[in-house]
Amino acid sequence: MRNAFSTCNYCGCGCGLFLMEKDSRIIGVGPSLSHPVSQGTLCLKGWTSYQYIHSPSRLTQPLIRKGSNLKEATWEEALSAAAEGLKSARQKFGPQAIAFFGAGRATNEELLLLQYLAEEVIGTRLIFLDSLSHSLSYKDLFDGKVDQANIEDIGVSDLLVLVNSDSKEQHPAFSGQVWKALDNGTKVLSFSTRRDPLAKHSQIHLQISPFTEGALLKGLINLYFSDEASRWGTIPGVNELREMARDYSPQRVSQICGIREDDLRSAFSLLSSARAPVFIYPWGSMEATREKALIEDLKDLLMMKGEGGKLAILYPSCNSRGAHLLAKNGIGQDLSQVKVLLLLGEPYGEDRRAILSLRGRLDLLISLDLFMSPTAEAADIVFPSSSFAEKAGTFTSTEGRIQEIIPAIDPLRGTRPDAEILTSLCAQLGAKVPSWEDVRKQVSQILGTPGPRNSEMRFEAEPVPPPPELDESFPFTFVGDAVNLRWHTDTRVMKTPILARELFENYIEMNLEEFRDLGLREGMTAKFITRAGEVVAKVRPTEVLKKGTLLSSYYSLLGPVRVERA
Amino acid sequence: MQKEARIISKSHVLEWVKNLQGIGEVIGPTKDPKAPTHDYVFARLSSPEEIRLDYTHDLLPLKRFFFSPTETLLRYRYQDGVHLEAEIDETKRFFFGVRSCDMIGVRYLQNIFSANYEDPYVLKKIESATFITLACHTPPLDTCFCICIDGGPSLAEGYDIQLWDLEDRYLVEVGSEKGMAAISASEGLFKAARDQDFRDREKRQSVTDQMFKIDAYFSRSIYRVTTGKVPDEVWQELEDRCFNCGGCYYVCPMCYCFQIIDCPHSPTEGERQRIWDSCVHVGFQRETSGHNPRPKLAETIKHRYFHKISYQNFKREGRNGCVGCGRCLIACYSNIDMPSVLRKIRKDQLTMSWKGHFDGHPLK
Amino acid sequence: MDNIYLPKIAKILGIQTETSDVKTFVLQLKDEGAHSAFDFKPGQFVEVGVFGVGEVPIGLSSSPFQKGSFEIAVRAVGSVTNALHQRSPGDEVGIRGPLGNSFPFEEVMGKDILYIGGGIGLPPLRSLINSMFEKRQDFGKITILYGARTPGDRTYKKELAQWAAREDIEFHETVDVGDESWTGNVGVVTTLLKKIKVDPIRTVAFTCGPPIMIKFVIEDLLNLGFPGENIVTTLERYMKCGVGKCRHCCIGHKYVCLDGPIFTYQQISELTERV
Repeated sequence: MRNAFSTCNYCGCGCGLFLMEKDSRIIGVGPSLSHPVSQGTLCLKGWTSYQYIHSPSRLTQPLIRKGSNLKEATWEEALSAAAEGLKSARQKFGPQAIAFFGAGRATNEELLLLQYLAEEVIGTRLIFLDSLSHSLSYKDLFDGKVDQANIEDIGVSDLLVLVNSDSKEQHPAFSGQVWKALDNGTKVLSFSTRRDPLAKHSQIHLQISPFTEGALLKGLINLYFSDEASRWGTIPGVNELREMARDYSPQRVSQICGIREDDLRSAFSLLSSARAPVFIYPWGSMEATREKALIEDLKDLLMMKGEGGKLAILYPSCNSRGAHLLAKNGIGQDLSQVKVLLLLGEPYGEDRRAILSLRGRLDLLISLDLFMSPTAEAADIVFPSSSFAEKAGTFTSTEGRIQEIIPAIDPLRGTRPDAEILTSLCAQLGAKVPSWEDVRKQVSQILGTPGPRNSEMRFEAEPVPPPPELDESFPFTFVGDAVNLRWHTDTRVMKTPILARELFENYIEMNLEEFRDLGLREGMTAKFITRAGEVVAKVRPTEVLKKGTLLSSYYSLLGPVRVERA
Repeated sequence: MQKEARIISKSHVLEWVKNLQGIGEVIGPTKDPKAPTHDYVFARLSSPEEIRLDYTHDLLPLKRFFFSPTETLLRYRYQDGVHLEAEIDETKRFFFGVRSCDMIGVRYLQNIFSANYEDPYVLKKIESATFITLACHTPPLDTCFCICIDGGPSLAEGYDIQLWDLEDRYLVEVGSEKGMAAISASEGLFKAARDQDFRDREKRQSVTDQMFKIDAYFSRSIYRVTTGKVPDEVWQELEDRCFNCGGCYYVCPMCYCFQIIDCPHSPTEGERQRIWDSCVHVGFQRETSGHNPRPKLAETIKHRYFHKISYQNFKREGRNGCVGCGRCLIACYSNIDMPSVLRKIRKDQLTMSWKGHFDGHPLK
Repeated sequence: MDNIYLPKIAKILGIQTETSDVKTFVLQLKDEGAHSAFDFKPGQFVEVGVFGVGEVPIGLSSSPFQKGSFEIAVRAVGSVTNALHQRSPGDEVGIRGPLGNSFPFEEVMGKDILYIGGGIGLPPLRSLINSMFEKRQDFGKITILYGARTPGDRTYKKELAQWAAREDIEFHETVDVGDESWTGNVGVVTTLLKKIKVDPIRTVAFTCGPPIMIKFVIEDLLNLGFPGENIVTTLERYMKCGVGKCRHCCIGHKYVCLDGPIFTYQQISELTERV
């Protein structure tokens, strides 16, 4: 029995773990006591991450659509069909009709190869990594204006500011450090729509109305300007920022956010007296324009705070940060002319809906995945991928740690590592095939490049998008919520027996009083209708939500919603 | 009463291990030179030099070698009816350098899996194993608290061989015939133990207890859990903190709940597997109808502690479900490990804050 | 060492439809030796397995005096039970058992016996009832009360008619909701208690059925003066190994698969976790 040291393939924490191998199977997982991030811990996804590897549902044969069904094909047939499809589409419609998507769980090497295939071989600019639109480019996010916080900074901070950060669910390793710091005397200031368990222990928890984080941060900026009016006299951008912040008086902010003015002032007082505050924000947890404003506000606040403040951006997937660094497309890429789409893994939430809604207009959809995901089901050609335990590569964790995954076992029979599938496609298209060593060298070059050092302060005044309008037909707001056991598109999670057992029921949470007012009882189902779609699910009452807010782990349904008895 | 004992010089240990490798697999603490971190993990030795008897702790307890995270119980095939195959592993193995807490864990599991019905998968593996334990002179980690719950630092029984570190040599205590056999194959490497050796051991062990840093007071908490006198608010607070990660179960030498699943490879054949599953998870007892007797984490956690420290289960299983190995202090994200929960139950102060045991990482 | 997880193979000799979602399976262990060694007591259960799907615990519903085959009644609720319902005579399933404890039999000889069964709770009681009929002279007065939701939901319809016709027992049945052809009692099964006379000290009551029904039956029996040790019922929990190891079925420190599924009300009230 062998123990192979590797990295978890789920969230951006990048926990180290041991894969226990016996007779060419992974039979278990062990934690790493000395790993700097996980420090001997693992969340349930990590502990059970080996269980889906040998699931009977793993795709083990390429598939090609014939008529309305996907039929098994050989690798030669599938690769040839894919290459032909790409070639003829480029000929007929031009390279900008072909788009590529790489999920945040793909390795740096795979994403680089995907980019090579897209940009060099096909010639398209339409390549999306992890998300269809990043709110900020990597360079703009890590522009050096504020210091990045790493996990060690949490334990030595005197104030942790959790912005919309659901403590146990999203990044357990970081959240664990928050709880431990809390127990050792660190104060916590948190803003969220849900009064989560950590909120009860926070020094100050501001339960804000949905989508009003932006107003709250501008409110704190406003208080900074009132407090030390002259301090930022000549810094570029200060006038625009001050002008914008004027609209966010404590009175107005408390109205918008549904909090008390006193609480806002207490929060400000806590922040301004902190010596080494660490702000924690989960990247990608809101719509792009809203997030861009929020990030700029966080940076502005930290610049006003001065020395000692740090910002921890927590990326969702194991290689979201790697994907972000490599990505070249920002907000607002137009997919309306796309005729051919190749996806490595799946996008999720709004992005997945956007992709799947293209289905009728596409000539060709190619999917590389481990299981029959909804994207694979819609595809014309499906390639069976190897799992994280069957291939080599690197993930860039949320802090920027570049960590290896190793092939603890050979690729499951019938599957191939995505890197191999992509290089085979390049070969089929008659292009030069990059060697593995070349790719690895490129990875270390790109990722090893230090970010720009920008010691110049500059304020960015981003207007805050208002929260979505509610009216009689849509009186509630859906807020997305992370549930630790759900992950991304749930593809791997639902093929893991223990996780699938725990997640047996989708449910949506509603304020207890409103639940009763609607005549609902425990165990009942309701229909939730938004402008973008509807879902029928069990509904549960809770005391941790304010009126008018609904909480679900359906990331794809956000915004105004109506509830009806089902 | 002194057991049969020998002395082996530390310079001869590798040769002893090599001889044992000629008889069966030898599994001991190792450190992977290629891994970027420095963890100790029990693994099958390829060469004796891999063994690291100066190790701290393998964070995963020895139970995985007997009660496997994934165990194939049977293979089935539909072909003119059903055909079944089952394999029981009876490979001869030596476990070298086992800590006392882990040894007690293995014997506890041996009891559990022989009570009422015998589980051949677990028992045959244990019966085929020879255990060479290493008494602790100093607690390997600051998180250890075995002295609070009869979990170490040394053993009175339950081992085949117990080694005592006497700086340049080991005192080798033989606890069974299997232990005797493990020595007699290498008789030339051992010398007789003299009175001085026993005195050296006494001297070294006399200071061991003071070196422990954690206090875990079991008695009052056992009483409260046994009589059901713990207020619900305590369990609710645990639910607020708990990450539902199952880590406490995975790393505990005494936890053994499991699930059985069928894994079809094709419509006509597949296998039935036993996999690790923790009773702390909310879905553990949920029935097909959807009804769940323990629908909240507060209740599952309460039940887990009842199982571990109540007197009712003590009577049923022969000892408490804790050996004080300290792994739960490391595996838990939010400080709700055994000593902390005991303190909370014992002091019954809801407003009492949870203080972490250490400032920073337990390894520092 | 026996392998407690390795099932014996049983052939389905016959399948009878009891209700819209309940079928009786008549089984026989394939291996001659296993077949002749198979012996059980009323109240015990077997883990019935469909390989590739899983196992479920089902109470044995035939009496051990019946040789040559044994019976189980299965309601289709989940993946395994639905897979069982898809099977045909001649198909093979896995059987582990008999497991669990059993109804008191010798211990209650000489006493009056009161049976109160509801719906799918009748099968395990039937095993005991038919065993008592084999030794009728060893027991005092026997009264059987049975209730089902509708006439269609009654299990063992033919046998119920035979029991109604017996002169050496008292038999009453009822349905919650009748239909056009139903001429019998209508009302919940507890209403039948008013029709009979029992001496709570001389009588042992056996009751099985949906949890809500058992709750009300026990209440009524206690009100009639039955001591806790004279009320015998079955408890259910999600079960996996069936041999007291996996801990899925535990209630406090008791395992339903080892210390149960048969419990007296007295034992239930001493459990350290709520039922």
